[in-house]
Amino acid sequence: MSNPNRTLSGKYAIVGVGQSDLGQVPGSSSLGLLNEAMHNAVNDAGLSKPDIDGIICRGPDDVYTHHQRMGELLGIDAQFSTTLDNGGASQILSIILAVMAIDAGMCDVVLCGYGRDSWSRTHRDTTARMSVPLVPPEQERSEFNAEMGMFGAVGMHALGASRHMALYGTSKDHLGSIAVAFREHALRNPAAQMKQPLSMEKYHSGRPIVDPFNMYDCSLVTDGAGAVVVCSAERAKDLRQIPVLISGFGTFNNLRGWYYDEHMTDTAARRSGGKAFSMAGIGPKEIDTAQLYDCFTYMVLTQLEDYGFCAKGEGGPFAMSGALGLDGALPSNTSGGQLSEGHVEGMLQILEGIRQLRHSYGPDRQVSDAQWALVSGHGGNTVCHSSLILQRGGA
Amino acid sequence: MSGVHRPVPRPSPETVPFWEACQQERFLLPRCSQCGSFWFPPTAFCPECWSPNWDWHEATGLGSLHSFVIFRRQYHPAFVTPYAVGVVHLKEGPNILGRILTNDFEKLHVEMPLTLMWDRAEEWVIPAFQSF
Repeated sequence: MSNPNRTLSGKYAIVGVGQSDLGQVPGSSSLGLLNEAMHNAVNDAGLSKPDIDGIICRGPDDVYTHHQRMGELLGIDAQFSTTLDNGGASQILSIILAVMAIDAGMCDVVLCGYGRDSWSRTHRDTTARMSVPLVPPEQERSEFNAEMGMFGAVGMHALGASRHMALYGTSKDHLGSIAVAFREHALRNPAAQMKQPLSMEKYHSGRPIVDPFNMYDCSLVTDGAGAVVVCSAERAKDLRQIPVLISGFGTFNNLRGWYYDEHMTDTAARRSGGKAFSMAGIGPKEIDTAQLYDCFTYMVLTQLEDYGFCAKGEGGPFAMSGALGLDGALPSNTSGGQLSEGHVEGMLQILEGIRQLRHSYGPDRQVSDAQWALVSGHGGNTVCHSSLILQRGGA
Repeated sequence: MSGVHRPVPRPSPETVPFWEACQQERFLLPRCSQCGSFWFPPTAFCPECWSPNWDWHEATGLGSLHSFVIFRRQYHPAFVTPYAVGVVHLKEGPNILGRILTNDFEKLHVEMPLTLMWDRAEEWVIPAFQSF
């Protein structure tokens, strides 16, 4: 197993963050949302268009030349640009690739982002809900899938939860405690899609989707985009915001598949996280806040174990203990996460990690004296993973 | 339900022989002539040792339930809910997706023994599993 080069730890920084309108944004488009987020990120950094010479992004699966379209909209000819294809793991990967590209002398200041008009595509009305697939049919597996009744990401992830429950005694209460904790965070976030409280009783009465998941185990369908600006820590010193240093990163992809071996319960997060901790020179105990990829409640539970915040099999009791709350042992998904803030394929988790380290919030939302944040990305329908460890810079 | 069609496989060149055997209710797995591994889905080279030398081997159809889910929300008009889908750990080694045909979801549990059966849909014969 190789680990990322430790000399890169802290050498690059995130200096700007931006997001678009979030939630139900009628009339929005994926490219338009990302354009808005990217403008906001560059403005936040105190930079301007001529400073940007790299673009790495991802959009919906039916747009194959996303970075080209974004460069055209932004009016930027880039020294380095590309579109990534690791699902929800792409967004952290875009930051990793930005560091690699800048370090290799390919470019200097990179805009990374993701946007999709998911709600407008599939949930704007009953017709769209029944007939418009989020993933184009030609991207789906052509056999050993739908003919056996398997549809969508919910079923795939529910398989993981079901096995974890059988192996480790994980319960619906355990999964529910994650949904309840993140909803509580969302109520403190004015931009969050979900505005209603969620009790454990209400969680258990949620509409069944694919057992063991009900609707509250599943992330939201969201129109939205997020973007960040990456450059050297040296350059960051002269910029507007408190820099957030990229201290560690890692990736691991269980490409043999979700069905293979124990991949459902020993996810790629374990080895991806190991690389990131190794590069940063810290361990799970040093992390002040985690922003974990929560496409489904179960993915949070297994990541708590896979990242080493608790032992394998202890993710449920760890979550039930209140650890994920703002005053808990590991305040997690403090903006509400994809379960309650909005699902922008991990981009909002990156933004929240940065805002916590900037100490952007008042006491109702701020993780006290946050110095280190872990952010995770998971996708490609269960097999791809990326990890990011961020440190508050300046001082 | 006229006009409602179940999704059917769109085989690749590597999987055509598998599906043709299913039509005759024969369950074939690729087995490597070099390292002896079984694998699924079928591919041109053994994914363990990359040998191009392998043959189709008639499998037992026996296995155990690796994991399962029960679809409650209807995703497709031809799949009437509730129904169970599982990943089955075959005796020969590979894990394979399939419907678990049962009316008693309460009896489903991980590691339970299963055996192959045939699920007929739209002129296709599709492998599925039931309690053994």
